[in-house]
Formats: sequence, C-alpha cells, structure tokens
Amino acid sequence: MSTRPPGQGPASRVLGPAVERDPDDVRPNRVPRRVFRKLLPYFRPYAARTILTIALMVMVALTGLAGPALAQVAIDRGITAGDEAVLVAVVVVFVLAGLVGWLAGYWQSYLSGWVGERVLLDLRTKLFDHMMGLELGHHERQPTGRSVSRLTNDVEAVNMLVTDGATSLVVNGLTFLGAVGILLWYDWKLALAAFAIFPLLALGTGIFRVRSTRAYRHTRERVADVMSHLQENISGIRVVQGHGRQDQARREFIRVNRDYREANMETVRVSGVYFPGVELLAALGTALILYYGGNRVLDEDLTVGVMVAFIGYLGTFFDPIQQLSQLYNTFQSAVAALEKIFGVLETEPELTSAPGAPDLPPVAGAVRLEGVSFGYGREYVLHDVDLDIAAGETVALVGPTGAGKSTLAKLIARLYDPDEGRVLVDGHDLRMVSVPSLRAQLGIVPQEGHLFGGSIADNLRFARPGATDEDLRAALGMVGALEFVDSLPDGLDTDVQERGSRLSAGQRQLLSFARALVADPRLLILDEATSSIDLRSERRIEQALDTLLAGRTAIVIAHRLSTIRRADRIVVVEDGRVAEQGTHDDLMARGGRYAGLYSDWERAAA
Amino acid sequence: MRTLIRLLAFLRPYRGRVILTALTAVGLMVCTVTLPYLTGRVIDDVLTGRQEDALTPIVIAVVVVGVVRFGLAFVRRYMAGWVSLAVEFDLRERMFGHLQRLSFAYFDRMPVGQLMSRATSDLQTVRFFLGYGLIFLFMHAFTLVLVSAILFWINPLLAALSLLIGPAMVAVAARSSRRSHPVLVDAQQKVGEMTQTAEESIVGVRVIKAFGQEDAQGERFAERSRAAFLRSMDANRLQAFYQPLMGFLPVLGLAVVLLVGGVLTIEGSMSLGEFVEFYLYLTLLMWPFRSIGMLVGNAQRAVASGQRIFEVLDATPDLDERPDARPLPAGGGHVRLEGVRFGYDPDRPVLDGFDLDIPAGRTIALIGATGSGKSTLTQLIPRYYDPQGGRVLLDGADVRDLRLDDLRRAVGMVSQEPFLFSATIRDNIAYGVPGAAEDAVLAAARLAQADPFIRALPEGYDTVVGERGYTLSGGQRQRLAIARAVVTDPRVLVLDEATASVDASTEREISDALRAVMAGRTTIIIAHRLSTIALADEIVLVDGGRPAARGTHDELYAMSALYREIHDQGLARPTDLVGREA
Repeated sequence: MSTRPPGQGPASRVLGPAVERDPDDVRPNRVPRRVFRKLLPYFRPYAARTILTIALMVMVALTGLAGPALAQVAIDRGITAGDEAVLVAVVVVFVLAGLVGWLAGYWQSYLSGWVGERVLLDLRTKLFDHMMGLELGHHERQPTGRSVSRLTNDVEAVNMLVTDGATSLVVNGLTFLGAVGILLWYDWKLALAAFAIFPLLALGTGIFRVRSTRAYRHTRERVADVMSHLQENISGIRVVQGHGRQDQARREFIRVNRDYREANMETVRVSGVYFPGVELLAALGTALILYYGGNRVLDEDLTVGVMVAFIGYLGTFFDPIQQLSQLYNTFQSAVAALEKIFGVLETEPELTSAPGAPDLPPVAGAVRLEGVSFGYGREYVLHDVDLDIAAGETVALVGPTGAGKSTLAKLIARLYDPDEGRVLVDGHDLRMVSVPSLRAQLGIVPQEGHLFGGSIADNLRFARPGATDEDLRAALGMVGALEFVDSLPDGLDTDVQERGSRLSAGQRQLLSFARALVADPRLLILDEATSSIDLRSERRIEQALDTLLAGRTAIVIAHRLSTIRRADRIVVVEDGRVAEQGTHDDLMARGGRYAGLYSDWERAAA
Repeated sequence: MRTLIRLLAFLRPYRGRVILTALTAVGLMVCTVTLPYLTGRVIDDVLTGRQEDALTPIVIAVVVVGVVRFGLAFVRRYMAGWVSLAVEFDLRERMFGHLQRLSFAYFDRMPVGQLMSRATSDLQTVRFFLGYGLIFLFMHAFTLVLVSAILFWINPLLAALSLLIGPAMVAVAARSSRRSHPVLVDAQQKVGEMTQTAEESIVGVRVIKAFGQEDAQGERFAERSRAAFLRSMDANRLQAFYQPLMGFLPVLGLAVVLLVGGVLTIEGSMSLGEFVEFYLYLTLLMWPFRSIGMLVGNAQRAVASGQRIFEVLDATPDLDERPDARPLPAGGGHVRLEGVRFGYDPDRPVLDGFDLDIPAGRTIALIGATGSGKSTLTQLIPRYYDPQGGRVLLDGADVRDLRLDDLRRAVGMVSQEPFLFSATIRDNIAYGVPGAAEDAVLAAARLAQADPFIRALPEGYDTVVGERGYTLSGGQRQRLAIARAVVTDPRVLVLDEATASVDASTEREISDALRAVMAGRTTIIIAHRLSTIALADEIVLVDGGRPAARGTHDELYAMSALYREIHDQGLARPTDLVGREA
C-alpha cells in the first residue's frame, strides 16, 4: 500500500551502473535448482550464521504479523468489553513485540548482509584465482569485458539475490503465509471471501511479470546503447571534432537517447497499471470484507475487532506479493549470472602440471624443442619444429608477421603446451615440472608494456617483491629511464594510473624493460617492440640489452637490425617452420630467405 | 540553493505536466484518506448505530473511491515517469551537445571516467529527484498536513500524543541518510577499485603469467575484495541499525493510540469507529514520515550531483569559432607558423617562438626527442589548440579567422594509435564526409592500400570494427586511419608516428600507401624511423621548443652535430649497416 521511495524500484536497478550487453546473456535454464545446489557449498563454512539468520527472519515475520492480531484483542476484549487491564496488557505485549522485532531485525539484517557478502567474497576470490589459472588461450578467446563482467556484474547480480532477495523471499513469504493462516483461523468464511481477489491478483501479477521482464530487458539494452555511445564519443572526441562531425554525432546521440526513453516509458506504463491495480484490488478486498463482514457483525456472527484485523492483514499480504513479484527479476538474473560464473569455474585449465610435479631446479638455460607442432584452432601454426638453444646463447627469431615467432616464444614460456612434440629446459620436459618454478626463472618482456595500477616502484617489483629501491634504481639506470622517473614529482612512488595517459608508450616500454631486469631471469624472452622510443633512448636500450642479455639465454623476437646483428644466431621462421638459421654473415652469404628479408628492409629504408 | 533553482529550471518546459502530476497526487491522497473514514463509518453508523441500510452505499463508495484512485494513480505514475525521463533526456542531450563543443584542452584535463560518471550516475540522481523526489516530497507533505488535520479533528489530545513520534522519525531518517551516504559512496569506491584490479589483471594476464605472478595477483585482488567487503559491512551495520529502528518507532505511536485511544473509547469520549479510523490513519502517516527524512537526503545529493553536472555545462568552449569566421581561402596548403608560443600549462611553454614555413605541396619531417613539441606543433594547425603567442597561418589566413569545420576538413591527421568507432569499415572511412559516395570510399581505401585486406575480411567493407567489433592489426588500423584522413581530400596531411607500431614488412606497404597519398598535398611527418623520414623533401630538427636546424639529410648531416648524433646512433637503419659492411 505504500509508495516506494524513489530509486528503490526496479527502475534504479536498470539504470544503475552501465550494463554492457553480454553475448552470453541466455535465458536462464528451466531448472535452476542445479545451479543453486552448486552455490550451496559456499554457505557451508557459515552454516551456523546462516541458520541463525533464517531463524531471525522467522522472528521478524512473526513480530510483523502480531500487530493486527493484538489490535483485534485490544478492540474485542479490551475496548468493547471495557476491560482496561486487558488493554494495558495488550499494549505492553504490542510494544514488546515491536522491541523484539527491532532487535531481531537488526541482527537479521546485519547477519544476512554479512553471510551474503562473505559468500560472494569467497566466490569472487575463487573465480579470480581460477581465471588466473586458466591458460592464456582462454583469455585470448574471451573478450576482456566479458571476463571482467563475470567478476563484477555477475557476482553483483548474485549478491542482489543472496542478500536482499533471500531476506525478501523468507520474510515476505512467511508474512504472506502467516497472514493467510491467521485469517483462516479467525474466520474461514470471511477469509475465503477476502481471498476471492486472489485469482485476479495472481493473473495480474503473472501478466506483469512477463511484460515487465520484457520491458526491463529492452530498457537495459537501450541503456547499454546510450552508455556505449557516450563512452565512444567521449573517448573519441578528438576524432569527432577533428572531422567536424559534432552535429552528426549529436543527431545520432539524440536517436539512441530517444530509443532509450521510449523503451523506458514502457516500464513506466506497465508498472503504472500494475501497482495502482494492486491497490485497486486492495480496495475491492476492503469492500468485500466491509460488506460481508459487516453483515456478519450485524448478525452478531463476527466481532468488530476481527473485521478490523482482516482489513489490517489485507495490507500485509498485498505488500509481500508485490515484493515477491519484483523478486522474480532479481532471481532470473541471478540464475543467469550463476550459470555464467559456474561456466567459468568449470572450465578446466588445459595447462596443468602433473600432480605433485617437482620444481624445476635452478637451470643453466638450455632450451630444446623436439618435433613441436602447435595450433590455436584446427590449423597448425607451427609444424614439427626442432630447435636447440645453448645456455647463455642469444637467438633472434625473425620472419614475416604471422610466421609463428611469437607462438614459438609462448611455447617456451609454457603459456601453451605443444600439440605434438615437447619443449625441454635443461633436459626437463616443461609439462613435468611445476609451473611457478619455471616462471620464476623466466622473464618475458612483452611488446605492449602493460603497467598495473600503483606506483612505478610497485610495477618494477612485480616479479620480485623483495627488491630494494637501489635495485630498482639500478635497473632504471640501465635502461636509461632513471632520468625521467626522477623528474616526476613523486619519483619512484609516482602513481602510474594518475599519470597514466601521460606516460608515453616509449616510457611504458622502458619501465617494462626495467621490470624484467629486476626479475633477473635465467631465461629471457623479449618480444621486441617496433616502436616509439626516441632515438636517444633507443641507444640506451641497446646498451641495456647488452647488460640484460649477458649471461642468460635469450630468445628475441627481433625487429631491430641492431638486435639481430648482436644475436649469436638468427633463426628465420616462415610458415611455422624453421626456414634457416645461422649468423648474419652466414645467412647473407647463403642468399636464402634471410637475405631476401634483409633486402626488403633495405629497400624500405632507402 | 542556486544549484537547486537551476535544476528546477529543467522542469520548466513541462510545467503543465508537473502541475497535473501534483493535482492527481492531491486527488490520490484524498481518495486514500477517504478509505479509513469509510471504514470508520461502517463501524459507527452501521455496526454500532445499527443503520443497516447504510452498509451497501458505503461499500459502493469504497469501490468507487478505489476505482477513482486507480485512475489517478495511473495518471500520476505515468506523468511522473514521463517528466522524469524527459528531464533525463534533456540533461543528457545538453551535456552531450556541450561536450561536443568543448576544446581538446578540456578533455586533456578531464578523464573520460569522470565525464562518464557525470553523464550517468550524477544524471540519475538528478533525474530521480526532479522526476520522483519532488513529487513525493509534495505528496508526503500534503498527506502529513491532511491526515494530521483529520487526526486533530477526531481527537486533539490523542493526535498530539501520537504525532510526537513524527519529528523523531523524520530526524532518524534524515540522520540515517546523512550517515549512510558517505559510507555507501566509499563502499562504491572500494568496489570500483576492485573492478579496476579485475580489469587490469585480465588485460595484463600475459604479464602476470609471464612472471608467474598468478598467486600474488590473486592475493592483490583478494585484498581489494576484502576491503570492499569490510566497507560494505560498515554500510550494512548502519542499515541494520536504522531500518528496524524506523520500523519500531511507528509501533510506539500505535501503542499510544491503542492505550490512550482505547481508554478514551472505554470512557465513551471517542467512538469505536473513530478509534479504528484513528488507528488506520496513523498507519497512513508512517511512510511519509520515513520518506521525508530520506528525501531530504536525496535532495542534498541531487544538489551535489547537479553541481557536478553544471561544472561541465558551465565550462566555456575556450576555442570557439569567430562570429565573422570566413571560409578557407584558395590555396594549396601553405602552412606558416610565426613566433608561436604554446604550453599545455601556459607557464611551461612547449613551443617558444617557433617559426616555420612549409610551402604548399612540400613534405617535411619533424624529428627530435620525445616531448620536444613535434606533435603539439602539428595540433595547432587544425586548431586543436590555440597558441598563447604568435600565429598559425594556412594559405595566408590566420587559422583563428577561419570556419572551424572548413579548417579541420582541410587538415587530415593520422596518429600513432588511431581511434576507430564501433561501426563498419565503410562508415569509419567516410567518417569525415557522412554519406560519402561508395566511389570516394573505395578510392580512399585504394589510395591507402587498405582495399586488398578489407576485401579479404569476411564481410568486406561492412565488417564492424572498433572496440566492439573485429580486431584489426596495428598496420591495418593505420591504413584505415590514412584512408579516413584522405577521404576529405585535405590540403595538409599530418602523419604523427603513423608507422611506429608496425613491423618492417608492413611498414613497407604503408610507406607505399603514404607515398601515394602525399602527392599533391602539404605533408608533415613525425617519425623516429629513418625509413619513414626518408619520404620527406626536407627535415626539420626540433629541439628545446624551436626548430634547431632544417635542410635535406645531406645538408643537416653536414651542418648539425645533434642531427649527426641522432642519425648515427639511430636504429632501424639497414643502410648504414650495409654501408659499413660493404
């Protein structure tokens, strides 16, 4: 009967944070019980609290139901009978019930919030750990947004159900059942008369559920359009303005904005009919009780107090029904979210060490590929590759884009396992040793120079948390980044995010170089960037490379001729095979692939 | 207060509907108030007074009131929803339109996330307040006055006693709203940090795996999640305290009615019907008391959000077209900078007294260290920024005198990381000329050597690219950007590190594309690679915010020690390697 406060209706849920449209959004399956059974174990550690919470919910519902019944006793036994003692006693019980309700409500609300959030914390942490354990291939197939959405939006959707939803379900369900029971106990005939409105209510609620689900889904989709349009136009504002497309962009925006508004109007219309409709039914119910009950009172077959209690209870079962019908949407999205979450949790990591795999002992760094074939999908990218790299040797992989250089490097780092053949480090098959012990001795400097949130120092310490500031400064000095880091207001403690967009691509690369230096790996894989470091910094990097490569095995996916020349051996990869290998001079003299590639470069630079 | 008035101005176009909403709300409340009255009549007149004939008319009245209330409630909900959505539409449209006019300098200062949050969550807060909050505030205030008046009319003493809890409820609700809000915002913030960690871990999963840091990163994420958990427990505790408390306060009011009202009824100074009416009326008041406190909190938040929105709307476009702006003069793209001084921070000029003259049709390369101002310099030509001193001329006209659209169409920019929209390749290429003819798109694509790879894509020119589409390689994006730049047939073409992110073999393809598109235009190339620089007629060495030297490769090599240093230590230069080995 109450007007819901602004921002608590389902509309605010729809319009909350931007909802990305998710291609995985499937209709929840018909038997959600399976999904919930999987969620159950997460509650086990908190079983005692969960049971206590449910007990408290029952108490809250019961004290809520006490009001009209007590009023009935007050009217019939106290007021009508003229017995003030009964009246006082009832009022005392009334206040006591209120107090108990208050206390139970406090603990119930706190505990259900605690248990719900705690379970989700566990679920989320487990999900994250599981994702980190999945092989790189999984992440390359999944768009970033989707994985992030599992950890955030989906867990949040479950949260809605586990905390608010469960409480609402139990309390409202009990209140409803309790009210029905009390009314039947009071007077089953009048109760049945009052329940005459149920079929209408059920029908209306059913129709509302279907239509509002559709309307809200539609609205969510349109909101996602508005958000992505905004996001894209703000991110790309320089392009918009640079091309003088402001008016056009504005017209398009008006269109998506209007589509959203129209979609949302449908939700306004649907709830505009349903909620007042429920109130109309409540009024009809009141009329029924007044008419039938009034006649019965006149016939002295019913007391006034019972009739008033009926009117009082009418409210207590309309409210729960409205709440429960809203719960359905929450329930649906939670089931869908859970299915997606368990979908990830049930994805077996393809890349696991044999159980109890021994640690890789400290290695010298000899790498050997034996008959290695590998493909991301059906087609092989590498065919039967044999390659021997001596400890301490620097090997440059060269070849056209897509030849398989990066894939080769990834197999050595065991970011993938070969489909055929094997990869050995110091004679140990990589599949037979524990992954962390391998990675601890291996460093990869990827092209993009991804930095994490936090300070520059945090990023440099990424692989070796114990490194001292001196270690960091030494590494920065070696790649020639010390000067620019020192020129930042907070030096090593500068937050990379805040200045995120200000750190140039070149500076990021220098930092990722330094990060690998700090890690001090036995085996270094360098995916050489082709990029944007200015000429003087490049010179420094070249010098840093000498230091970096000295004394360790290095596999460089090379783009710079200076690096290629510096390598002990050049391996030309073409069409997933090793086409030829040797030193620069050997290969030039042979006049094969390398000589051809080389003349390409020469021409490009001419 | 000023913000509030400005916010209210957004309702002005819908004055009629707002008034209609208010009127229906009044009618609605009158209906709602009538129901307990009719119940009281049944008890007093029919049941106690034994006027049996009166029952049917009263019951019919209940049904009629119920039906009327249904109609009014529908109109009220519909109108309020309509107005609220209209305000949201207007606000968002205003904001979007305004953002389109703001200068690049503004977007340098304002992170995308900031603007997004203003256009979404702040806007929501304002819309709920203007669309629903105000009308609820009005409805509740009206209910309070109306019902209180009735209560006093029934029994002043009982009314005074039972209404004592009213102020307490308002105070508790307001206090709860005030106390929870900062905690909720902070909890949201913690969730945001957790999301960020999730995001960067997924994006940076290669780095994590490469260094074997899965466990450490998991610990980091768990830490963030725990922080979010703890903070939302703080919010939870507050909510757990206030919500049931607000459920308990009305119990006290009703207890007063039961006790005092009951005694009064027993003593005969109040009828049973009045007693029941009183009881039912008081329950009607509980929600308004509770809501008013919360709505006050909402209003405060709406004002705060409003301020953040107006901050954007009040930002003046500091780079506007002159009212008497003229069209582009005829010419071939003669660019001239005269004593240009510019700094993103005016106190720290990046360019200081820069003079440069590029004859029409000439290709020059700018080289110099990162941060020497090369890119900045080129952005002054299409007026992405205005210089703080000196002037920039295009074909003899000061760029500040020209029509902005004309000017920007005459200057094509290709940057290192071109931004593509989530649209088809065709639309992306035709971006500068909406509705460009198919031929023009194809010609541009061919010129940029993009046509072959586009045709090889599953859906050709209809392939959707960008953030939510097909992922193109760096070189492919680059060629699309070049096609997009030349489709407007610009007089001046700026290639800012356009070949930086591609490997040597792709670079050769792009270089061929560049050579084709440069023909007949003034071109400015910024590059670190000598192979790209070699495309230029002339090289300008930028150092310390000024041109340090200018000339052909041979001239500069002979003339400038700095150029010699850069050149000799530079990389990606097979030529000198060959020279030494030959």
